[in-house]
Amino acid sequence: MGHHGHGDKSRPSKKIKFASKEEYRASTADDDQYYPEEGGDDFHDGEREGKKMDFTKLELKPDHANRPLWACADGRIFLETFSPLYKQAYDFLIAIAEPVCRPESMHEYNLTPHSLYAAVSVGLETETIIAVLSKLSKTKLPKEMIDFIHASTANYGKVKLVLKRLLADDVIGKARISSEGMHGKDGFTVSKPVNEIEGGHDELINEVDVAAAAEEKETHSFEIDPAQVENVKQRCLPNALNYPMMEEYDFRNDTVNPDLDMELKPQAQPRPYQEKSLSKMFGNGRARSGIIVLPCGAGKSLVGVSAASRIKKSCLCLATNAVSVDQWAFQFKLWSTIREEQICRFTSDSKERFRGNVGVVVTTYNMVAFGGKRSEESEKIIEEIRNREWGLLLMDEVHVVPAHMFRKVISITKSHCKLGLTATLVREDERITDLNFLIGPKLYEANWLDLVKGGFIANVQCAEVWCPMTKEFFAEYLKKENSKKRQALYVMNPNKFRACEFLIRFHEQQRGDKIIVFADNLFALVEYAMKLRKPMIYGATSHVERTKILEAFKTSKEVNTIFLSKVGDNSIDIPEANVIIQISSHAGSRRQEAQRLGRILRAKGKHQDRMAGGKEEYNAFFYSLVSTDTQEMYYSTKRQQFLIDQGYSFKVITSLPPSDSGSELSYHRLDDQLQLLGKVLSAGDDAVGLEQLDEDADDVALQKARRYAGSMSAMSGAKGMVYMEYNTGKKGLIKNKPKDPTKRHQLFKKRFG
Amino acid sequence: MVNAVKGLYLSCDIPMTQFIINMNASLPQSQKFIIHVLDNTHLFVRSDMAGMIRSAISDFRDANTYEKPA
Repeated sequence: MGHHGHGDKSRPSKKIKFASKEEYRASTADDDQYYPEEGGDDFHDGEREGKKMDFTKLELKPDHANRPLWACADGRIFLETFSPLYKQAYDFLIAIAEPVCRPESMHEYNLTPHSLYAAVSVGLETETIIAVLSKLSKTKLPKEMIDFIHASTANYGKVKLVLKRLLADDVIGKARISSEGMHGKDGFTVSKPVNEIEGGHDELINEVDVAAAAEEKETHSFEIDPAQVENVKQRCLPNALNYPMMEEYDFRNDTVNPDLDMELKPQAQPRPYQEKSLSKMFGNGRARSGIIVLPCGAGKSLVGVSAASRIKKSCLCLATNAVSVDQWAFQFKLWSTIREEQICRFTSDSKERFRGNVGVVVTTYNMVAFGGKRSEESEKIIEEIRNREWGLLLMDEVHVVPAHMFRKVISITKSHCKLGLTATLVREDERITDLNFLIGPKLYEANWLDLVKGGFIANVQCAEVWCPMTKEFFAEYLKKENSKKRQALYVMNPNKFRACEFLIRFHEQQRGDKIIVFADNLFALVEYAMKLRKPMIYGATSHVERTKILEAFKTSKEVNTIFLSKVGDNSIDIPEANVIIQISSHAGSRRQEAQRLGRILRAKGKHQDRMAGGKEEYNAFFYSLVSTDTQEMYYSTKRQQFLIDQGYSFKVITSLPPSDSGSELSYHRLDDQLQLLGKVLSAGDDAVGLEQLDEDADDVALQKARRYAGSMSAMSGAKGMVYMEYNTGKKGLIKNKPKDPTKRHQLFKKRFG
Repeated sequence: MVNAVKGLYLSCDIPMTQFIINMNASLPQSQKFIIHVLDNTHLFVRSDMAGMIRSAISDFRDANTYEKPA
């Protein structure tokens, strides 16, 4: 960020201010004739017919060159990144619109009801949104867009869920418990007037009544049955009642929950974009619930720890597996002054409890959501987690966790504020929007290329290496009877193997790089690793062996390449690696591609070398090896879409290994190739398939959902087949003393029964 | 006695040759169209089959090409 100069911004902005008022009036007055049949409702139906694509009639403002964006009637907005106003315009657009595609020079955004909901919830008002948009736009703002913004934001912010117990209640009137004694007199005063709608149990049936009630500008508040909160929230979203709620936590005035004595250490210096994402969260002195999107390696954990240090209340941190539980606990100790005894991990192998009445608990989603029978010890801990009032619920990798598990976790735990962190807000099952009501709106999303330019994440050269199939392999690939072996055949393609071997040699010998080779296909993983004599890690690799291999990879000069199955996608932290070679992957999963790239995004080397124009143009390499003329080509292109939308481009390499080399590489002779082919064909169909891990719940890209009746440890992601946990935690801490119940806030008192 | 057959001389890359051979093999005897497999990249086929081969290859390539939904 900050790459594009924002020199004399006073000059254009003055002119713009004058122009915009005029434009705004003009556009509301006579724009109708340009778009006679556009309705605000089918704004995002994805139908972009010729008529909508014809912008020739749009009127350019005289000083359009100074303005950075194009606003279209269908809700799309295009931003010129080379504009002097880019930085300001970007910050604004990311707050009000959804980024669609962000290549280097031109970004595309889309206005959606959800993105506008997010905008209002970070404090932007309808008129501000329209005024700033029309200031920045090269053309008159289309009337459709203005109407759409009005329609989408009119009701926002009228209903606030402060402390999550004040709520407008409509069709789900039964959710309401009682309203007596709920007004500000008890420790949690609401600092600003909040417009609430008081509805009788049945009287507010239609939206007109709701709107009328809101006009009275009275503040009402009442309590909602905790079990109904999600229903009520969903009911209020734009597609239902259209009274999206804001969820805020007035933590400074929370005198009931004890304070946690933790600060950020002085060496923890949040970077500008981390600071910005935090400012969105704590904009008005309260803590807002929502999601922050930062690429892998950009320092999500520092954002999480900073948020916890600001709120200074008990914090429940949820991660996807036991390895990242350890990493989070480590990050808390690294960045904050939290004392050892105030933080504990709860996984199937380390069941720690904290002393005192306040602290940080790090655990997995599975551990909390697990519905089966638990051991006595973990039953006690989970009971404590359920009964505690959490100041912050910190949720890592929110895009991975299945929606039903989220629901369960959120309904079990009582938290004042929820912060979701993720790198890739894509799911193959398209359930991302569920997160809007389960957690909250997206508060901030960083632009990958800006972080690359700033030297905050590595500058990755992405390449797709095209490997032609050999005659014999392709002949078998085409045969109907081999349809189940297709994947094995295109992964084991000797030309691909040779390209892989060539790349490993090149990077090990010429550049001294550390290389990870990813293979989802276990058969291929084993064959490649054995043939090339490199260590490998997959699901069944024991914890001891994993640790040994990873340690060797980190420290030894002899071990520069490791082979990983998809267990390495997100759980194994390997900061040393800077080259990825992908030989097989999970069908068309965009998320996996982004996660794998994330393994090498953590910036290495000196900061100034990494900046734009620094010594090293690229300091990380991502190769995807693809056998041409096979299904893999289809998947490969699909997988790249997310990264392409982030502005990455894939270079296609067609001649690897170079034709003058080759005899020193494996499978040079036809005999060897045929032997390999025989091996693939004689292997059972099961042996050449994909590795199956428990956590594939969201991967519906190719296969149907599977159900597991797993053991306790399997549910927590700790089963030997899946992940091993470190067991270094202290055990046997003394049980918590229960808090004085008379001090408890009324809302919670009731819930404790 | 010399036996002359009129046909098409095809040049393709190695995988596409295999594709055409596979296609030919899957047809009943009466519809087979390859007269001679000359080498890894050259075929001699019945002259009336050009259109069919072209469209089969085009379908095959389409199936392996991802297009971003609009």
